[in-house]
Amino acid sequence: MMGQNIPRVLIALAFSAVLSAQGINIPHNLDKLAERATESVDVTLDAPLLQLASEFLSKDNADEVKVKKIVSKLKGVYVRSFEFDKEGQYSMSDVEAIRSQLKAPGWSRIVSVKSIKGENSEVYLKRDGNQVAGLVVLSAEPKELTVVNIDGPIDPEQLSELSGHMGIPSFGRSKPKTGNTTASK
Amino acid sequence: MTRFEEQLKQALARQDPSEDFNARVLAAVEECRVRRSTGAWRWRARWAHSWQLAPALAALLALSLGAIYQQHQRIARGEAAKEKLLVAMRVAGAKLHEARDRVSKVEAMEVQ
Repeated sequence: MMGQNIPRVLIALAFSAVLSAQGINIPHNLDKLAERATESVDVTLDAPLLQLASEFLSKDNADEVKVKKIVSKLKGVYVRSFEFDKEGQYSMSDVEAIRSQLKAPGWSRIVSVKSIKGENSEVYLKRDGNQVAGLVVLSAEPKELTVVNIDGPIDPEQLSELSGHMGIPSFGRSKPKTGNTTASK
Repeated sequence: MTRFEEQLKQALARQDPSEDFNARVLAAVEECRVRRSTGAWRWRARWAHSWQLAPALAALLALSLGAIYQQHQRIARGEAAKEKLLVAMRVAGAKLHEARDRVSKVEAMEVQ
């Protein structure tokens, strides 16, 4: 009986190791939203894949040089973004499942904006001493839900430097259309 | 007998070979045999057995093709990862930009 449980325990341990390595766990419910979304982005890049991707970034392209600098010390980049054709396609419990993980020690919310139109933005930072060890951006709009989880030392200012490049509008200009950046449906 | 006939008779007269003739012929035969056993003849002999190298060459070819395939796969995975990374950075940058923009709007409203 005990012997039968050992593989399960090992799987659970391995799974929890993966989750802790990732920092926060993007719930499986969230991935199911892709079925209802008109456009979705699903990016899961762990450290080895980031390293590989980094090797293929061009040294001659200024944007890619910036990205290479940003990701050089990262452990993982995880993005889930969904665009829907009508409202009410996701529930706040989907967002709450992530929010609750961000109440863990080390995490602090640095930005929280809620509008009457239901456009909510939250930015969380994970601090390790004086260093930022992780960044989570939660953006919940009536027809759009985005979760960005960057695991590892990152300077949010470096990300802001991408503003005005790679299809990201310069700060102060009109709202970016994330639909242009989606990779898959 | 004219002088010409005498010269002709003399030229065609039978002569015994020199004493070392046999030795020189045998030496020439030996030299020819040695020359065959070296150089081009040796290479020709080797090529005649080249089929014995076929498995090694096939293994080398298989290893080379495997290495080329793996490199091709690595490039494909790398390019795909790069594209995903760029998409992720665009989304992250855009969402941070949105958050910042909203904060600015709220601050502007508070000032007004």
